[in-house]
Amino acid sequence: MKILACYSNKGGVGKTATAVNLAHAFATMGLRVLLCDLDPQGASGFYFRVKPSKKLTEARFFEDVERLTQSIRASDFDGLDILPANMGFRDFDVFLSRMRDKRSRLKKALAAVEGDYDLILLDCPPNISTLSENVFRAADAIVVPVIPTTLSERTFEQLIDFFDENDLPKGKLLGVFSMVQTSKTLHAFTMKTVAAAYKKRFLKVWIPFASDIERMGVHRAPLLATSPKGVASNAYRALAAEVLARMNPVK
Amino acid sequence: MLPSPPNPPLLSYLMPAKALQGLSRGPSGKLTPVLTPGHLAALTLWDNFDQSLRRSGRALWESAGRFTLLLPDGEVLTQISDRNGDFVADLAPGPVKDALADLSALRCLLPKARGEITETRLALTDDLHKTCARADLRLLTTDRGALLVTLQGLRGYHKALEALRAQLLALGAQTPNDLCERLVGGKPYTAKPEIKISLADSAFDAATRITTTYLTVLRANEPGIIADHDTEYLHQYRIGLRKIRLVLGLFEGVYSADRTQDLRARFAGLMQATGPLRDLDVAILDRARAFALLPPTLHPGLEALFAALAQERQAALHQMAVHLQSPTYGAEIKDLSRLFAKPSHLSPGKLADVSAAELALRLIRARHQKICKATARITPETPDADLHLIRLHLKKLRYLMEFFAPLFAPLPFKAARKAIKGLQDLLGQFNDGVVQQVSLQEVLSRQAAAPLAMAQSVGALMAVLHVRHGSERAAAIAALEAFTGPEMCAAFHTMVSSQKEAV
Repeated sequence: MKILACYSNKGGVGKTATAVNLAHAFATMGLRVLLCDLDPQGASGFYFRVKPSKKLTEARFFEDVERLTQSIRASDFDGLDILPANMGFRDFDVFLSRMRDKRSRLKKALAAVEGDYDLILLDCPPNISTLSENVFRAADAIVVPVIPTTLSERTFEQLIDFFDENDLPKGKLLGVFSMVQTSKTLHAFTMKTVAAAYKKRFLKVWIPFASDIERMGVHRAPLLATSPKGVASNAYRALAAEVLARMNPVK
Repeated sequence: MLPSPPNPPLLSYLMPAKALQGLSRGPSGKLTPVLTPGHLAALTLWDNFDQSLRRSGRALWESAGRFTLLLPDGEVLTQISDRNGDFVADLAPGPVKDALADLSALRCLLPKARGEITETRLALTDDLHKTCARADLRLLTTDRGALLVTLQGLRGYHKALEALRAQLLALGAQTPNDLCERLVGGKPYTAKPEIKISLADSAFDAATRITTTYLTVLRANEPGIIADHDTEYLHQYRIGLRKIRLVLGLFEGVYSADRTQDLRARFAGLMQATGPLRDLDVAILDRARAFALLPPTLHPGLEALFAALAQERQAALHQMAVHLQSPTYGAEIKDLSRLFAKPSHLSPGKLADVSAAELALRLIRARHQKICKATARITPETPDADLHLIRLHLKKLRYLMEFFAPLFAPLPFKAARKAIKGLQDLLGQFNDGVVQQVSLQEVLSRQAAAPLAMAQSVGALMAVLHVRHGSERAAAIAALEAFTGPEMCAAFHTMVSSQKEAV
């Protein structure tokens, strides 16, 4: 079982859309996938019409294997299950800070479903916190959506610095340009410079800005299901393939 | 004692076709049923001649380029229907092929019924239009019909699944294991039909009933031999004939001497016609073993040998088919069937009124004693042909016991039959090796100009068989000695004696 995180310390970069569409794309490739929504806003669950599990409190998430596994819900798509978030997840940090081995609790909790899935995809909230550190340690790879703008570039640099300072393996980080508008000169320029600066860290596939992606909230379904032939769907399929290829050598 | 665990719930159910309407209304509660439009496709239901799938509670059908296999617990497996032939071994690798591995490799699959299938999916959705439970609805129609509902639970939505199951049960759901029966109907063929013989039956009644029963088996196998679906049709035809001939041979005096002689000659004539084709079938079925015994360098010669055998078999098959379709055969088999259908036409002999059970027990004991005496006489010089004769005695003993199985207590009977069967297999293997050496020589001699490679391979095969001959003979003799040893003899004696008292 591999763990893939979809993370950015900046909000509004297309993190949840990437997590939802990647998870679905992996499932269509025949993998057994669990999309674990760690963001208390619960957007991943919303996209799949899955109701939040009220009984899965922060304590139960990390300490009650049975409750955690009982909270998993099948999506409407073969091979893809969802662990929906609830507002209680906002207290993860407070809870984790009180625990021993506070930086490795997430990995231990997810071990409960080892064998049920080939891949767990974590949709993470946008901050750097104890929970994020858990994610960095648990994940085999971390997809980081980056809008090709100056601010997003800066956020990515901050993340690299954090990995350096905390002696975390930067090899896990897989940057992906998100919400790309090729008509914008700034986007094209930023992609060129960032890709040159972080040659190993950025994936070749990029996700275009597409109204299809925005409409996911209306359809409440992944893009590959509602608009399978669209440009953005093709991009997510290609992204899934590239991420899988990059994940295999990641230890 | 611990209570036995409850059976896991079934995955599929058979429903009356009219239940479809009830299902579209959905279970009471907050869930809404959503039916996706169905797809209609041609349907072929497959099984072998013995209907092994039907008997085991399974059903196999082909539609839209896929095989679907329903298991007794309702699990449904599918795979593409690509294949090189109609035997299980010919199917493309996949879960259906794996789940059919227990079927006889010698029996081919045949279309048992044709019709149509409509596949629909039912989803139960909640107030967010999220699917909480699913069911695949398959309406299968031949000249009969059945609705198969396969449940698909979704993780985290157990209550929805159980609500759907409860609705199915309320609508008359039944276990799925008689789907084949519903679609095919009739009674499946059996090579070993049950023959009811009671203590009160006379030898005349028993002999006539056995013969009548196996005449039906013969007739049932005729079309399969002519169509050459598989080699088992002829094999079962011959076993049926052998059993009839055994009765006529052993129940001497049950019919008048003239009648017995006439019947023996007529059934011997029927058997004789089957010999050439069966011999070739046996030789060709041994193909894999022959290739395994020789190194690859000698395989081209074996290919030539088996090609020659296949050619000879085609001729023998043609001859057999002509024979079975000839007016002479048709008249003969009909006349025999008529004769046994109205026993008043058979002239009873002096032993006609003897108790069947008493006669059978006497014959079984006599046969067992013959086997024991013949085994005791075995020395290193005993010819192979004598061992073959013991094998025939064993075969007769087993058939006799099977005819009169209801007369024995089940457990000692099963143990004795199993021991005899095991022994027969060993002796059969030994005899096959002996016969094969002779028949290989004959195949060579029948070739106008046998290719050198074939001659070399046949020579090598004969040499290997000769080397194995010694060890196979020793194993067969050891098993015979064990069977006729004091322990087995005592068990056999107990089984027969207890019944003798009852008689």
